[in-house]
Amino acid sequence: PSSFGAAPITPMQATPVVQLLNMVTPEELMDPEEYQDIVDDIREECSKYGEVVSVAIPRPVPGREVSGVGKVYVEFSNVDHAYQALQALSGRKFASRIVVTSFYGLDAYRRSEF
Amino acid sequence: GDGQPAPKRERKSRWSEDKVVAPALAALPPTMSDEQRVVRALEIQIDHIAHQLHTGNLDLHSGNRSPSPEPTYDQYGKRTNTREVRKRKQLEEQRSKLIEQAMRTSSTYRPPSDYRRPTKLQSR
Repeated sequence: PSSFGAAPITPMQATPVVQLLNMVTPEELMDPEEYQDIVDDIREECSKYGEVVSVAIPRPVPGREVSGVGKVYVEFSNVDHAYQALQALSGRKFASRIVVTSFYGLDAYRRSEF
Repeated sequence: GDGQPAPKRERKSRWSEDKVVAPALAALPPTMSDEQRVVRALEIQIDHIAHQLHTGNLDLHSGNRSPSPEPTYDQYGKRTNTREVRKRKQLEEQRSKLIEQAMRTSSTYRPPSDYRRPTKLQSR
């Protein structure tokens, strides 16, 4: 049995998708080169904890409200890998910001509900 | 230069190896709403910057890639725009922005007591 601090995560709540917060700003995502670097940085680091299936980083579109800008999602091939990444990455710094993690529903992720 | 591979673009990872360990930084429970999680993450970063400013541990060597400006001095000849002074100002501005973002995200978010709402007209 494993737990995070006070609130234990039950197997029902664990998913293969990890949501990462405090990672990116809209300004960084607007820059195509910086965006690609960010995707590469995240994919590279997350691959240390398991097989990364997909990465989703909503980007701002001028003149349109895009939901989920500022959030990062990483889908792993299984729940165990996601769990490893979740534990390892919370509290790590990305571009000097403290990363906050949580599981995210696979169905909502696949429907692009960011 | 025969048979040399094409030069790769140098990329320094944005990840730093150190890990801040605190109970508040454990993974957030899935029972929290998305809005609550976003506000909680903002609070963590807002507190972290306050801590940096308080302790003077300013992380001077990260993220600051802009060239140094011309030095400026006060009336006593003391330099007023050292790297540390600039970094402090930058962190204070960042913190205010994050607080404002948290206020926009959640109507129940209470800004820290030291937060001053920016005034429309600022005298320089």
